[in-house]
Amino acid sequence: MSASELKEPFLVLSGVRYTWPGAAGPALDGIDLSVGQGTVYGILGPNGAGKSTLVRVLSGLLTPDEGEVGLGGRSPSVGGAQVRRMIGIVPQEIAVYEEFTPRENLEFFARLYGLSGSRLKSRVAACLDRAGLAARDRDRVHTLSGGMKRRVNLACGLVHQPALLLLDEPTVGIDAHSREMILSWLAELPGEGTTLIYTTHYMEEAERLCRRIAVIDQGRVICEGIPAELLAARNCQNLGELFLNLTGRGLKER
Amino acid sequence: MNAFFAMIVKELKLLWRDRAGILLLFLMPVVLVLVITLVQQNVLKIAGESGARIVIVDDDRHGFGEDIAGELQGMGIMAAVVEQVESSGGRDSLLRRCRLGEIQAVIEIPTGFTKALDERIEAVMRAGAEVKAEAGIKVFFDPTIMTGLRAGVLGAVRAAAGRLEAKMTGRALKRFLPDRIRAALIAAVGPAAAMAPVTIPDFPEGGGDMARIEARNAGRGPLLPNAVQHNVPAWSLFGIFFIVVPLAAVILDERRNHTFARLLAAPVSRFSLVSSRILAYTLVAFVQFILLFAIGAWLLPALGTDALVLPDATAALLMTLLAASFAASGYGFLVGVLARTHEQAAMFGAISVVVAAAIGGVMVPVYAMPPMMRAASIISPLGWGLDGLLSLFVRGVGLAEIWPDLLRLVIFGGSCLGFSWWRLK
Repeated sequence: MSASELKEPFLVLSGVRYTWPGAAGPALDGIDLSVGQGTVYGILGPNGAGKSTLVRVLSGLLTPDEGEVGLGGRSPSVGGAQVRRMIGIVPQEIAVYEEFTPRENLEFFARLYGLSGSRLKSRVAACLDRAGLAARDRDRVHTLSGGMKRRVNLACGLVHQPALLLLDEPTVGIDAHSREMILSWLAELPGEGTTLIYTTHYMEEAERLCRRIAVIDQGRVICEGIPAELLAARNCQNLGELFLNLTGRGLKER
Repeated sequence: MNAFFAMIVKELKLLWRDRAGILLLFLMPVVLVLVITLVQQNVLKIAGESGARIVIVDDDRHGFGEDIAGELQGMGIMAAVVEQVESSGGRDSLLRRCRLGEIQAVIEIPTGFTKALDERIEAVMRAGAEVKAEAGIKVFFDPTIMTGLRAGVLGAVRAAAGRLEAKMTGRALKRFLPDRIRAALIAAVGPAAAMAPVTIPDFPEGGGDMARIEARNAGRGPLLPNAVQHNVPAWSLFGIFFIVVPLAAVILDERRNHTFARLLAAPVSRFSLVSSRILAYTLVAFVQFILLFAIGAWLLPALGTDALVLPDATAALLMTLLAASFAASGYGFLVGVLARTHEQAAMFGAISVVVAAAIGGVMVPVYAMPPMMRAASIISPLGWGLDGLLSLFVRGVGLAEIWPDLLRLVIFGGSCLGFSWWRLK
């Protein structure tokens, strides 16, 4: 981790531990991370590694059993509306109202985050345009293609211009065109000051987007750093090989 | 539009776009109120309120048929008096129509009935001994009619016969009493009393009119509860509780596609998330009630029923509707949280509401249930709500009398919400 990367740590996790009620072991087992502002930070790991749990902790939906999460110096789970307003989430599922149009979804979530008037209109219009949905903005979501739904899902997380965007596998099961549209949109966000936490098991996406990555398995960070440096240090060709090298298992296996 | 208002609008929009949900919440109670009120109106007719057809065959032709018809009309039952059925075929035809339900009862007054009664009374007066009555009037009933009408018709016949008997006894007393008194005087004073004039003054022949009977309800409500006054509040409550089905479906969708997580992560309080939803469905409940009230006040009377009369205790009515919609929303949350599929939510939600309505007295009054079901009715939230509404609509009481029902509804709704929240966490 270079010093320049962490000049202004925006998101800090220290010793975060979380166990789901009734589970045999912890989903997060002492996670330490530090993410600078305007960074795309990849969280990689196989299914069940703890990625989604981590995203829920970061979004304030879960309170860690142990450890601390700091976002701009405040905790998402106890920081109240001000901290929550800084965060946008893009769940793995299409977490929008299928009976609403893309415009209605965006307007609704924008209002939840306190947008109104001309700012609301301009943000909704900008997001619809950037998502390539301006022409379908008054069609109900359930009539859209899978890729379009994914873009609505992303737009709903971005409409209030969050400082931290949490993405949980945002490109699962979509066509190449939509994937490209989403990735190029995400690539623009750090330039606007948005920090991205990007969980995926698509290694090519991580290699393309992420300035830093953390590989987690069984709730623990097993490797963290700049992708190129990590690959060089372990003499690996790609992140999949790196993971195999670290754990003895493929990234998509469990 | 702030976040709270946006959430209310979102809820109403989702419901508006759920056509099946709209039909369930609005069309179903409307159809139920119309059909069941009209059906029960007919049942009340058959039970004797009005329109039951009674034929009195008066072969006696001394006005007793009219007396019975008068008694029946006093009870609200229309009766036609037929002076004489000429042929046995005509009599058979009447009895067949009665058996088939075209006529609810046939009352036969045989030829010479009043004369025979008069003779019997005279014999009693003369001999001072009791004379056994012979079977005279015959009453034939439609085999399907309810016990109430059967008892009513027999009661009318007995009342008319009693009145007739009282009149005849009065006349007989007037005829025989002077001789009896004179005989008593002779026995007491001696033969000189035989010449004493004994005059009995006239006394009224009314018979049965002296003891006044007045029927009133114990409460302050109208004297006769009717099908409209019972069904509109009852089925409104049923409709309000059916918000469980669309509400549970929305919550299930939000859980399954993680929209709910998105809502929880937004900078709005959990209280706002829940209360905005309850408020939205409370608005729906009020619209349902206004719709059903309009039907009870205007449409049903146009179809021949009584008109719905709103209770005087308007504030108590509003609070009852609020408590009922809160309880229904809480239960909808619970079903939405516990269900894993839409089928589970719809089936469990709908069936549980129907069962709660049945044991709560929406379909059959609680007092008419067997003891076991009557005991079970105290656990039905629809029973609490119905008790509150009927207390307002039929018994004419106020908030002071119904607050325990409202408290039960609020506690039930709050418990459902609390448990749901705990499950979601």
